[in-house]
Amino acid sequence: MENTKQTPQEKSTLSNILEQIKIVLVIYGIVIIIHMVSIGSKLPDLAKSTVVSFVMVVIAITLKNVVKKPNLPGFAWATLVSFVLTLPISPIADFIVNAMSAYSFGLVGLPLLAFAGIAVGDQLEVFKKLSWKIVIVSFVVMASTYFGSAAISNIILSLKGMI
Amino acid sequence: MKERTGTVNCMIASIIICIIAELIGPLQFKVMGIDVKILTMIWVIIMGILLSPTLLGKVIPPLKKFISKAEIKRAPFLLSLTLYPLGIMFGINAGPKVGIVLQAGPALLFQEAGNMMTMLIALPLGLLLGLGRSAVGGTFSLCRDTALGIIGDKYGLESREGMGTLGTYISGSVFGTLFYSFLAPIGLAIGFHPYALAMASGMGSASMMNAATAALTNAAAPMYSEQILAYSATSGLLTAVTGVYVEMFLALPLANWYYNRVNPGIEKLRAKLFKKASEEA
Repeated sequence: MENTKQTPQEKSTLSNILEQIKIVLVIYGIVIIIHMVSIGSKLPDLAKSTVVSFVMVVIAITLKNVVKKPNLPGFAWATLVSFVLTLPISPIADFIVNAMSAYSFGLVGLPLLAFAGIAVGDQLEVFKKLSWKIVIVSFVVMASTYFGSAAISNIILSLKGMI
Repeated sequence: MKERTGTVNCMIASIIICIIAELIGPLQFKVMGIDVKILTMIWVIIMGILLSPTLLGKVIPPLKKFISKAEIKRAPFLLSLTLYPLGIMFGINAGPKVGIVLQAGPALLFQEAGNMMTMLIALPLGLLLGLGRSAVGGTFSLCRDTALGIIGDKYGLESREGMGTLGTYISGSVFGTLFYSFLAPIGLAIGFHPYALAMASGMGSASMMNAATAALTNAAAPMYSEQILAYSATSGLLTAVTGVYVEMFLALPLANWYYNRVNPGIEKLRAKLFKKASEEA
């Protein structure tokens, strides 16, 4: 039973990975354009950062699609891959950090916010039906988790004399 | 003919939005003596939302064809893929600084408990507003996808609890990134240290975390930037790994316990208030 099931599933995993990689490539195109328009980065520098970042993303996407336990979000896999590869004990840490220097964190995250904005369109109809009460409550929820965590960190960091 | 997935138009829209936003740039002005800074990223979010067929699409019909249902359905998938290059950025800022991160380990670990403070004020407030059991579902966590799964399993999304979770989920999807873009600078103004706010950024939603972190690096002094990213990355990772267990085994039972504690008092208070209101009327 296991064996007969495995073949089609493996195939779909591979085609999933390939489709995702194709789209990520286009996203890198957007990221490059934004860097050039915004801070006038040079294409050769950007190309280097892009290649190095892309290789790590391919690893992360593969892990996300293959490893089911623990079932981590893709974002966490990406952070883990680049985190581990840039640890001080990693022989390629310096290479990666230097190669990635053309990328600015804020600009890489920019297209994400555009997609997040566009995705809101889907929620607007449902949102209109929501009670204003739960909307107010949700704002308190969002502020509480943020400031609650910040308060704990602030206390511990200052107790340890780190800030 | 190939089926229209919405990928192409979404990508084009994203490029145009980002370029326009960069051309506008950050905006700074004073309101009653307080410096208000509208970041470039805020233009991006607002323009993205405005593209919705039910907003600008209503005024400019061709736009409705450009960003249609297909594009909107596709956007969350594209968003999830944009998270990969972004995750890389977080990781390369944390890896080389692993020493500093470990030193801050206790703070990073304990601040995870802050993710359970969602209910502290919001749950009594929800009860006071008359949300009943919905208040439990809507406040036991930030209510992202994992919370939908947990509540869906336990109560069903059609239940009162499920309605609450869905409510906070949708409201968060609509306002979350925008809300946190403003909340980070406010946190600094209140007196929180940039590092503390960085550690608070990993809340269970990668796009909200990105908004909070980007707004924080923009608002804080440049010397803090790298360490902000390192702390934020670790906090995001911790929440990604522990989040679902904390929600299931700690936050939800805690919310139910808290509900049983405060609900009778609030019910009485509501009865009193409404009696008063009806007497006055």
